[in-house]
Amino acid sequence: MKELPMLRPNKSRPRWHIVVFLAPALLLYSIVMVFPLLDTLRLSLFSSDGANFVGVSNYQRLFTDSQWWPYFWRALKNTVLFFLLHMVLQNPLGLLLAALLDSKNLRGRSIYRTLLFSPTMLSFVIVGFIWQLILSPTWGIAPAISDFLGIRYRPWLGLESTSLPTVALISIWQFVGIPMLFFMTALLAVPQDILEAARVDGASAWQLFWRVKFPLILPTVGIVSILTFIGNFNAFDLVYTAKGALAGPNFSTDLLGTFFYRTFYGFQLQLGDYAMGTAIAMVIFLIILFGSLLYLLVWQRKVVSYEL
Amino acid sequence: MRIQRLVSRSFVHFAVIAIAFLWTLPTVGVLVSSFRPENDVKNSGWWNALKHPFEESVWTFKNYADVISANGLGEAFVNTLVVTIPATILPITVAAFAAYAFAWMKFPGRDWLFAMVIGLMVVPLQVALIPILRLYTQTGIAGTFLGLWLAHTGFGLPLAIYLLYNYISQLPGDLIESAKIDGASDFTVFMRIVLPLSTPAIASFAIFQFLWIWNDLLVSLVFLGTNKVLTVKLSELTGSLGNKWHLLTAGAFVSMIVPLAVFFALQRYFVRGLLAGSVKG
Repeated sequence: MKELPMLRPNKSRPRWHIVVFLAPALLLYSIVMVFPLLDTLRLSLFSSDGANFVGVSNYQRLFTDSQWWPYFWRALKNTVLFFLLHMVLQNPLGLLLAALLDSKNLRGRSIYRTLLFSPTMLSFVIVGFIWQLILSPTWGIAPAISDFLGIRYRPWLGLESTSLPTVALISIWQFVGIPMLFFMTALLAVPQDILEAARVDGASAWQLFWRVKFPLILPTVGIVSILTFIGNFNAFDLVYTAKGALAGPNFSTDLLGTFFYRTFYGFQLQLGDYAMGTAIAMVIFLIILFGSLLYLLVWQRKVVSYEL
Repeated sequence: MRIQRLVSRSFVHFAVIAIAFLWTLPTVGVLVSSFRPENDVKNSGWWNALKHPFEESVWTFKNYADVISANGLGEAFVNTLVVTIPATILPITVAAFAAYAFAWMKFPGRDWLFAMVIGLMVVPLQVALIPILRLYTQTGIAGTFLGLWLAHTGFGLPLAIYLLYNYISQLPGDLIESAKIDGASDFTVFMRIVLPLSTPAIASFAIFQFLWIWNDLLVSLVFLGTNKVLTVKLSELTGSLGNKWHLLTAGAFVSMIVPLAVFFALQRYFVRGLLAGSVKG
C-alpha cells in the first residue's frame, strides 16, 4: 500500500484513539483469558485447600499415583481415539460432501448445504437425547433398522466395547457441517480459469479434484485439522448429555473434559478438588498448545500456499 | 460422452440427496413426534403419523402447551434470549474495534499483540472456568446474567477478532485513505465505511456465536444459578421426565426453532463472510 505523505504529521500527535479502539478487547481478554490462565497455573501448584505451595506435586500425583494415573491415562486414550475418529471419518466426509456440492449443475445446493449443516445447530442436549431415543433397545428404531439391514442389533451406546465409537459417530453426525463449510468456501475460491485450462487439457473430474483443487485447498485441510484437534481435546458436552458426568458404562466414554469436570466438582462420595482440577486443566492446555505449535512449525512450513 | 456425463451427474445428485436425507431424518423424527398425542408416541413409531397425515386425531399441540407452561420451558426460553442476545452483540462490537485497530492503525508491537490475541484461541474452556468462578464469587456477580455475558464475550473474542480482521484488512485501502484525507477521524471511518462494508463477516461470526451460546451447556451450568437456560432445563427434564418422549421432543423443538430461524435468515452472508478468511488464509 502507498504511504501518503499527508498522513505523516499524525505520527507526532498523541495517539489515544488506538488505546480507545483496543482497550475494551484487551481488558476483557485479561479478565476472561489471561488472568484465568495464570491463576489456573497458580492454583495447580498449591495444595487442595490452597494454603501451601506444593510445587509440581499435584502433577506428580496425576502422573504416578495409582489413584489418579490409571484414570487420567484412560481419559487421555479415549480422547485421542475420539479425536482420531473425527480426523479419519468426519473430515474426509466433509471434504466429500463439499466436493459433491461443488459439482457443476447441481440444483438446490443451498438447500442440501442447510440440511447437512442442520445438526450442527442443535444443542448437545438434544443430540444426546435424539440418539438415545434412536438407539434405545425398548423405544428406538435402531433394532428395526438393523433387522432390515441384516445387522445384529446391540445396544451400542450402552456396551463398554462400543459406547465410545458410538458417541464419536454421533458427534461426527452433528459436526460434519463445519469441515464441509470450510472446504466449500475453499473450493469456491479456486479460480475458474485454472479449472478451465485443466479441462481443456483433458483432465477428468477425478484428476481435476486430486491434481488441481486438492493441492489448492491444502491450507484449509490444515486449518480444519487443527480446529478438529482443539475442539475434540475440549470435548465434554456430548458425553455429559448422553452418558452423564460418570461417562458410563464403567467410564468407557470418559474424556479429559469429563474427567476434569468430575475432579473439579466432585462426584458420588468424592469431594471436588480445585488443585487436581486445575492441574488436569493445565495438562489439557499444554497438550493443545503443543499440538498447535507442532502444526504451525511442521505443517505450515511444509505446505506450499499458492497465491491465487 | 454425453451419456457418461449424464450418468455421473445423476449419481452425484442421488448421493447428495441420499446423504442429506439420512442426515435430516433424526431431526424430522423429533419434529413429527412432538406433534403426536402421548399414547401414539408410546405405542408406534413416528413415521406412522405420516401414513394418515390428514386425520385430525394424529396431531396435537398439547405437548407444547404442557412443556412450555407446566415444565417451565417458557421461562427458560426467555432466559436464553436474555443471555444470548447481549452475548452475541458485545463481542462483535468489541472485536470490530480491535480488528480495525489491528488492520489499519500502526503502533509498535502490533503484530506480537495480534499473534497473542489469536494464539489464546487454544486456551481450553476448562482452564478458564475455575478462576473466573472464584473471581465472580468474590465480586458478587456469580450467578448473574452480567457474569455470563462477560464470560461468553471473552471466550468468543479470539474467533471474532480473527474473522473480522481477515475481512477488514482486505477492504480497499484507497477508500480508507481518501476518507482520512477528507478529514474523517478513525472513528468516522470505522462507523461510516468499515462497519457497513463488513456485514458479511459480522453475520458469519454472529451465526457461530449465536449458535454456540444458545446451545452452550457447560458455561451456563457453571455460571448461572437459578435463572436456568434452555439447555440446562432440558438436561434436567431428560432426567426427571424419564420416558415422557412426547414432552421431551416438544421441548427439544422449542429450543431448536430460534437457531434454525437465525441460520436461515443469515445464511446468504455465511459463505461470503468465511470466504475472506480462506482466500489468503
